[in-house]
Amino acid sequence: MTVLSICIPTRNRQTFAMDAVRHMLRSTRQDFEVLVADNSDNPEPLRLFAADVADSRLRVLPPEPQPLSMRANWDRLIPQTRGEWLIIIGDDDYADPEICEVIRVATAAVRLVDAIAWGRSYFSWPDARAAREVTVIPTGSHLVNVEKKDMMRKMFFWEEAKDRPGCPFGIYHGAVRRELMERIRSAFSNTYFEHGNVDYDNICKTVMMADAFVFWERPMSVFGACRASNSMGLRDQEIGRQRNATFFAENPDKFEADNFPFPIALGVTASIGHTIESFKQRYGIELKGWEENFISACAKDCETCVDRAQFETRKAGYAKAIKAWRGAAALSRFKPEFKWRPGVPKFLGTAENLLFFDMAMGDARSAAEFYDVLDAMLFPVHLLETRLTQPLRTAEAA
Amino acid sequence: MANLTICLPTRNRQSYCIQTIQAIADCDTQDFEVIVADNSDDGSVLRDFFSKTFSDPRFRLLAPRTEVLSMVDNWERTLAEAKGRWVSFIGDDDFIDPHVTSLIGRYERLHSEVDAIGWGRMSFNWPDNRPAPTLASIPTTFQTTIPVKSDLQNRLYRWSEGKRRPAAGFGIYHGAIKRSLMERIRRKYGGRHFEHPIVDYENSCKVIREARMLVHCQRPFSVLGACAASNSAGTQSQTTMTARVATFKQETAKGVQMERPDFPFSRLEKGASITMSIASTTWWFSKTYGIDLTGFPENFARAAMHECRHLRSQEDYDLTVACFQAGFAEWDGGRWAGLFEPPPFGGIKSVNEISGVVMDTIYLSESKLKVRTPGEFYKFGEHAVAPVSNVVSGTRVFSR
Repeated sequence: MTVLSICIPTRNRQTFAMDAVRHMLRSTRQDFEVLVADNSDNPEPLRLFAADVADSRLRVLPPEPQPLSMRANWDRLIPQTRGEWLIIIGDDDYADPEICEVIRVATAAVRLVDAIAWGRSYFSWPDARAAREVTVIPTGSHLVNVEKKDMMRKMFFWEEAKDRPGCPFGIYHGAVRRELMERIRSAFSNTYFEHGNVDYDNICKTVMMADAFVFWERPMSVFGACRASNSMGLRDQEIGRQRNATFFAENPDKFEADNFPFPIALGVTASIGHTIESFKQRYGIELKGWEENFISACAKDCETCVDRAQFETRKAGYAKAIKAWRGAAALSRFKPEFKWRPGVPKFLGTAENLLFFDMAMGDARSAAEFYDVLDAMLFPVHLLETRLTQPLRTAEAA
Repeated sequence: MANLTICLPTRNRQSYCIQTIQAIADCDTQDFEVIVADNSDDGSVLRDFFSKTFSDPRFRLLAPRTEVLSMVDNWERTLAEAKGRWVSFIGDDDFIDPHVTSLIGRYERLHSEVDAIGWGRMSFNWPDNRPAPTLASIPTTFQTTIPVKSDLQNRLYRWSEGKRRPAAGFGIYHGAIKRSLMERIRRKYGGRHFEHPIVDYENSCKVIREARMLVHCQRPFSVLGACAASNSAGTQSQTTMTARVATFKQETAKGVQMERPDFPFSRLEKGASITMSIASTTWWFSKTYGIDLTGFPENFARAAMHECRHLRSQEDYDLTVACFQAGFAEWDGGRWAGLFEPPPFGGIKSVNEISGVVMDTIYLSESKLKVRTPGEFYKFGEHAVAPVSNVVSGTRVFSR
């Protein structure tokens, strides 16, 4: 039986996808599959790769005659999957097939669980790294039963948000039951993904529809960022402009919510704000009391800038939007500070259950190789069950 | 004059030694020298390496004597050749970062009396020494501490922590000792720098008694390596341990004897453990030089039980428990035998399988590592610890 389908939508970055697949197929597990949705202009590289690998655990969906929007490429993946659980990652990311073991333990502990997430880890591919770059991973290994209402608050009320809501549950770098995806499709316009910001669109729906959530503190996947990725646009203003232009050219669906005057190009907070607002507006969800937290997140988005001029531009942009949205009084909550201190050395080591380390550790050349480094120094997946010294509280009891 | 002499005694493990030499030579700093004291049966391997392959004025080779020296004698002749103001010893399958000289310089500027410096150590098993799951370790903190000597003495002489290895923290092995302190030790303790076959622990005993000031840096500057041919490989298997103990005793037949009638654990081979060897050393030192041992029997019994909890198989457990029981039965007329009550064997445990971060130390599953040597592992590990430049400049503020 296929427990897990690892889905990789890709467009014209075939070598990245191939690297991830090659590493996944090293696993001796037979209870997962890898499904690549190729949306590239040239279908040959991945077709030849799949033929060469000749592994029944790998399937490649060839490109359609015309390139699909990202949303449509994600959407066509789901009906093709065979797994009971699904995960989608980017082509420059990585996910460990051992997620199957996490699923086994989590479902044994919480019968109704249909959304599983884990600790985050981030890797910039060498071609996207400027100089020394420090990354951080959580070092805990507890399996935690997360309350739905807490995730609702984090997602829709932006509670404890940094520059984005701190809710990790969803199909992107998380595992969701296929049955949950079907319920999402039925409940929301007969499609799996609606908004161009597909990952956050799915988080909104997962939080609304899932019955029970389990979180493992230990990272099981890697968010990669290669030079050609959209995430590079968050680091470089000019690249950001180019990526946005390409994205909107390839994704003609409506992206912006009504009466939400935050230009998408401002930053990640504005972009996610539009996604959540679009979802709420489409389905008539009205909430009050989230605005202040959102404005704080806008300030934090400004504070991620490492360039003073970029900071000032972003700050002015958000200030203008906030004023137009909720009036000048709302600006009292918006007080970003330029915090970048290039002369202060970066912390390396452990603090507050986090490990800070130089991303060049182990000389990883890809997200998969980076995961190998993490895997060597994190709690072993095969001993996860031993962490369950007492039964997890079930969703029914909660 | 070099600030630091790194002593590298070696016997019949030339290939490891050569890799260690090359790793140290990669360092661009000039403020150190390395003495390689070859005690091998075949002196041609290192001689040829030094004459044909390797050329670095910071390194000197001492050729083997006509007859094999005991380890303690090989250490003794090495130290006699040291020219540095400070001296450090490592094993031929270990690694030390010569940049530790800048740490020594900092501590000397801050504390003019300092004559013993310790630091954190990474640990690494060479790929040939992993018969079962093994873990490497990287301490990630970098604070400086100045411990109270009486605390150190309590831990080492009287085993106050009751753990299977007393925490020495200071000594010439993977630490730096001012040469003037070593000369004081030589004058006071039998006209030799080293006496007991377990040279590292006997030196720790002397250093923490004689040092004027000891300063410790948590940041690692060296790697405790263990190859298949090392004595520490005995920790991986009881069979290996028994063989190593026999060889060790054979090669240390002269000089101070490990076997003491008043501490019978050291006479035993089957079921012997490193805990027993260390205890026999601290016991010898304490008895020879009049150290108060109040509390030692009780603490050693706890340490013995701690050791038994770490055994991997029923067979190893049975042998080691029997060995401890025999020792306790004979020791001091069986006076302390009742204190040794090891818990039953806990089944096949996941010893050395639990990688992760515990108490600010990263434990890594070695089978998943690509690095092959302690030198490579040190470079790997440095990515997760504060840079030397920050440590020696006393940087306090970091950004996250």
